[in-house]
Amino acid sequence: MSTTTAERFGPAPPPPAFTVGWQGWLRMNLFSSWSSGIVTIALGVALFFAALGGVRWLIFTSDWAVITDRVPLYIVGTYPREYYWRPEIALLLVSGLMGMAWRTWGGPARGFAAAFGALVFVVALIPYQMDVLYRALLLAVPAAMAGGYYCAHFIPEQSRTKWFGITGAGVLIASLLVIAGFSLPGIGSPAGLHPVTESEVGGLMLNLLLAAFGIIASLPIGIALALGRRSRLPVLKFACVAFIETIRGVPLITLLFMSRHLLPLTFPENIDVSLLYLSGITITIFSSAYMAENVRGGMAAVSPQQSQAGEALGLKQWQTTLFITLPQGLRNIIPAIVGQFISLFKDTSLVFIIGMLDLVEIGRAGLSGKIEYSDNGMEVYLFLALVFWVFTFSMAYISRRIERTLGVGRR
Amino acid sequence: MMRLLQYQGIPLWRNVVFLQFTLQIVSAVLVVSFLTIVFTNLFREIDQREIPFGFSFLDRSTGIPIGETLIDYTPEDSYRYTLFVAFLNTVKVAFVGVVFATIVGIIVGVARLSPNWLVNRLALVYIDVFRNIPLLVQLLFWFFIVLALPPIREAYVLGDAFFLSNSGFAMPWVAPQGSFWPWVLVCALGLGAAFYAARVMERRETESGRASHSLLAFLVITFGVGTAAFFAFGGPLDVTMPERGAFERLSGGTQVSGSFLALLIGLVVYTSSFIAEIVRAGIQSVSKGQTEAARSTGLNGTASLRFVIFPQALRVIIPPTISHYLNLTKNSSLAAAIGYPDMVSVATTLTQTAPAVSLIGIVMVSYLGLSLFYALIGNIYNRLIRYKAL
Amino acid sequence: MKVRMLLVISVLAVALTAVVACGDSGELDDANARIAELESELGDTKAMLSEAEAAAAATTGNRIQRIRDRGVLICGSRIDVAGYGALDDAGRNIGFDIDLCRAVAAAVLGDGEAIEVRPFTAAERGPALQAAEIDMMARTVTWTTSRDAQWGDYTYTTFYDGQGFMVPDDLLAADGSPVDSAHDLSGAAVCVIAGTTTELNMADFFRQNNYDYNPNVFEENDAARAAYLSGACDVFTNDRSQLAAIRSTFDNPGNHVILPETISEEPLTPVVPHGDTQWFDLVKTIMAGLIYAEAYGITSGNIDQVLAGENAKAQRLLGAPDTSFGQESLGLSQTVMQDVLRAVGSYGEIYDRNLGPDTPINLPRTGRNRLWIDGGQIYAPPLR
Repeated sequence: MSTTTAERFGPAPPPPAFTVGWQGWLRMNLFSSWSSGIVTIALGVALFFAALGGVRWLIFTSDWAVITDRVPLYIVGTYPREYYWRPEIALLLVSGLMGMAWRTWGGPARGFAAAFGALVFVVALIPYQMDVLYRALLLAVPAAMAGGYYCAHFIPEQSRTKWFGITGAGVLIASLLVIAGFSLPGIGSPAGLHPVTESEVGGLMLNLLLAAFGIIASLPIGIALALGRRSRLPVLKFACVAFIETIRGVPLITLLFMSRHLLPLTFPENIDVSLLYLSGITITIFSSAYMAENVRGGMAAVSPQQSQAGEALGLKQWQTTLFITLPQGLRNIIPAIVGQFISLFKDTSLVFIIGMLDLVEIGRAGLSGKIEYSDNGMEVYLFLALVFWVFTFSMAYISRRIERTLGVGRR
Repeated sequence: MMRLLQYQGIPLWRNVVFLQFTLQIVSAVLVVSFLTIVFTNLFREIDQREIPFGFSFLDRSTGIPIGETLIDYTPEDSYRYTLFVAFLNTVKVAFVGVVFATIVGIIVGVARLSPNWLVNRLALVYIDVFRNIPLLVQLLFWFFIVLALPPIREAYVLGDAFFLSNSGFAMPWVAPQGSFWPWVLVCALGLGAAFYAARVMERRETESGRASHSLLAFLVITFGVGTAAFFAFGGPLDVTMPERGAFERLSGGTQVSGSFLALLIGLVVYTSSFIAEIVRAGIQSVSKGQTEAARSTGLNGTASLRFVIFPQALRVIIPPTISHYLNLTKNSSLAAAIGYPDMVSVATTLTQTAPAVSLIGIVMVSYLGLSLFYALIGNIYNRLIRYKAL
Repeated sequence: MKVRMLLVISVLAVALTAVVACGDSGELDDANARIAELESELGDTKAMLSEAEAAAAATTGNRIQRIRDRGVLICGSRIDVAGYGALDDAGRNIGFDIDLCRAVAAAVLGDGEAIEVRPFTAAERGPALQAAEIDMMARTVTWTTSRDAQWGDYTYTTFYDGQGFMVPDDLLAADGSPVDSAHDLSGAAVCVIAGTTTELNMADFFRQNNYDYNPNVFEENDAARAAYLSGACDVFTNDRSQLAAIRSTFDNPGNHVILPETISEEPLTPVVPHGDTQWFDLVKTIMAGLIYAEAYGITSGNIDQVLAGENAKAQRLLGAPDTSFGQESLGLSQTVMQDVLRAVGSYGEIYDRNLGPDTPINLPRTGRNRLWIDGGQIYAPPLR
């Protein structure tokens, strides 16, 4: 005759008090052993004093006028006021794109779009002196997002990737051109927009613009370089290897310096290349060399049986590479690609070397350009760090989510 | 050749040999003509705009002062020597940075896996914060923190030997005497002997299963020989202490500037946040069964980490870490922003009296040299682990 | 030029060899004909080359036209020193040097706002001028003979400066007495900006006097200022006016003294790139106009009164009918100085607005920075 455990021993006693509830949590996670307890207490005390000092500084010492009095400067640099509608259009286009992504992709895209919309909404409503106009412009962002969300309704389900890719690239290129006023080297401004001079494109807008440009351009160039490095044509291969290794072996600021002085000279005569394009090109070149190495690593990790299978199906070599090895290789390295994008975004803070006024340089100019601000270095650097961190961390966060949805390493 | 091309009557445009041959030629022509265009433009413009270029300046005297140097330097020295001095400064900060970044990176990476909630959350915050902020901003921030230290007059002093102030850090150091190199030679011999002895003892330990204290023996022999020789040679090293002079500035001992400290902290914090992630991933890449096996043989947490997990994780950890060492070295080029005379900083200063293009060219080649050095280390390591794997 | 010719010839030579090598012996005549053809082509190329060169010379030469086509004057300056070149809260470039650029923009384009300011670090100034990527540089550039030879053409000095030393007033020298002379500074830690004559002068001063010192070299002002203020350096050396400007940013400016020694001459002068004398002359004339406007008592506010008045010299400056100071040969309008003065005012107004006693910089206009008629050295050749 069988009896259940419960019948033989009576109802199970409750777990010991020290393993449940908040006491249990504390015991398990903070005081699981003597040494662990000591470390917890020491760190706790240190954190407490650090926080105390921080709060005291925040309340009594800090003075944020150097930020709050020049908000537009941090956002768009010395961009002419009468043309503010141009970056605004770019911002709205991107917001619309996010709305579309929200609907079509869901998941991480939704989370990101929601967070971005909420952030802009909150910034628009922060009570400090700001033009009603700017507030209205910011409030238009969630509206544009809603518009994009609505438009996504018309995208046919089965070809959404293609649609989304085309629209996305279109929007980003349009933003670039609208902000810079269609001023292409040697062509001028065909759309009749007054070109904005290069040093007027600045602030966070410049960092984002360069990063977007670099991200769009460095992936294909990186892939091309990686393929070139795998190629069997010796001259091509050698050129790619030499290029990649040289670029990877030197610091970005020396490259920027060289491109400032030498790159304009390598163009055909009578083409003035603006510093904006120069910095974009240099950052792209730098980033694509790293991208090439990532891609190469990813493709090397694809099992050779895959390409053998491709050949067995009668695919040509270039077809095997393009349709079998490359996509799998790229999927392998999504985290590395996003990591590269993040470091590219951080690297945009170095374009001050060629005289562009990016966010960091605007902050430094505030410190030494106006007497009242001279002692507010800490405020400026914390602010700069926070702004960069919000962007890079959200990129990293999205990358983790994408990784999870694609199930990299778990197929 | 002709016969190959007309092989079996396959049309020319489908002949693999011909196609490959043509592609090779076409790619070569494309590459060469691209380079030709670029360099034609370049030389023409350099010519036309009379942009100074050349290396004849290298033996002239620079006339610029450099704040801290590893070897003796005066403004009368030549450009060649000045650039070398600056190169050594880059190497110095890179070397110290690599050592500390490794230590901090391992600590944070292990802390990330700690069962203690507070410890692993703090490690996560450390990684997520410092990895994601541009190094330039971090450097400026740390420079302000270092400047918040007391000035030299009110420096933190430990036993009249260690000084920490916003002008930097000073501590006693050793100055080699005449018998220095013979002493080093003897020490090296002692080290070799100690290594050999430890190896023999370890082998016996594996064979007999009885514990021997190989590490202890190694240390005793090394230091025994070193100390004995030290006294035998009558003190090949002299200790110099930092001493206060004019304006209470310190001289003697070894000193690093506040800029160096800020640069070092910035580089270490930034790089270690990457290394920490690599270490974490490396440890997690070791199969869980290994930990369980180690624990069931009676090793405690630390011991299983040290003797079982870490040696296996190292294979995954070391190659990407070396590339971060290279990144650290290259990132030290931001030193100019906070006043440390590294290679880029000094070269930029020199551009006012010498051709900028040539100077930065020299700097780039030096960095390429350093990156080759790291590549060499990486290759040697890869060969070592491959050899063991066979 | 030589390089280009060489390359063209070598490419053609390679092509020729290929043609000859591929051809059969029977086609030799053909080949010969081809060679002749190619040779004549080579001649054509040569002609085209020289044409292109002439065109290039024309475009680099006529900077005034290029500025007018562009609609904006590219001004090399700075954004990091209050009073000389900075960004105000609205993002507008302001400062003494900026106003000099605005004056030239007003003259060439009729609009003082039509400038594009490119900020340069000290070390970047020379290369930027040599590459001629800017129209003029007004960025506290010291005029030296070697820079004159290498960097560009210097116009008229708009500010006389000299290098000095600033110390906290409680700084004690090696012998325990307060520092009241640069000769007490042996053994001090000195903050200095990289890539400037300041750096070289400092090295010379300490070397000549055989003094020991510890240089801390910074790339930008904010870091150097912070280092000095925190006591990481004992001394800050820079042009005296800059020291005064920086001192005015301190919480207690009175606790810092600028030592009496001036160890160098620093005539700060706007520069234009080499190679365009008409443009050089134009900028010089505008600088002279600013100076003489002050000498004649013309300001941005009293132009109409002066025109209605009796002062013939002042009226010539303003472009009264049938007078000239050379503006038409420079391609400027008759009343160019009216545009300039309405945009930025006279030299005196520019000084007072950016550096004068009513500004936070509070640099009284004494010594050499007065007009020559007041015993100073601000002077330009007569305007007629």
